[in-house]
Amino acid sequence: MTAVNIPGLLTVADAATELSRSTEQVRRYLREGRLRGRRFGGQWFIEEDALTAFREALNDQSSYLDKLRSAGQIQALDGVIGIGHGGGSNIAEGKDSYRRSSWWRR
Amino acid sequence: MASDDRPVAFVDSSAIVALVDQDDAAHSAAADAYYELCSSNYRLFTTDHVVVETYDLLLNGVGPVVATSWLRNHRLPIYCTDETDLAAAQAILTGRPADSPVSFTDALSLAVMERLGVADAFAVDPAFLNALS
Repeated sequence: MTAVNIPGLLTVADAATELSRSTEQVRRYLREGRLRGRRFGGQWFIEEDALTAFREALNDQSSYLDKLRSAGQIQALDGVIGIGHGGGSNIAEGKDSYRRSSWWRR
Repeated sequence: MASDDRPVAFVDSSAIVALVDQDDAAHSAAADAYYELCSSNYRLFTTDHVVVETYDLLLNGVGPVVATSWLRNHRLPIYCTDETDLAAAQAILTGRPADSPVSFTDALSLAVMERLGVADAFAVDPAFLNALS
């Protein structure tokens, strides 16, 4: 981590490098309050501790993906293909439309 | 953020409904897309909230027997959302213009995809696909 002028605080660019994300994505995390930061002179700075906690949370979740097996291996949805007869819907028109038309079809 | 090289795609309820219901207009295209994902070695997953949404859609659209059968027989990995995901979904919803709303489930799906660094989705609902782009 590269500290800037203020001890313990990192720039958005530093945080982006640490998180392997774009600077815009880091700014979004800050705006949304998911990553704790402070603004000085219109520029965001991130506390090292906050960044560490945020990165650990990301890594925890990322390990979820590492456990996934290929859909073909586990036949994720093979057993449910074509098991229903809904009477002529079109889910590609949207879920809201599907919900509205369900009553009429059944 | 995944270290594995195999691609990952998030599965939306719209794709599952299209797969399950062979009378749906999107069924054939969804089945073709699913087999293509499998042959491309994709890892697929969804969220707990999408499971709820899918069950409700199937319950009302195809009936309780099929909805229950789907629950019993699918093997799709389910990511369980937490407080961070819910907060991110809330931020997505409150940050969007009022004239382009998305459902809470869709916002949560977007939040999870962003959190996990997943860019691909298996979906046929235009509202979800628009929100994704």
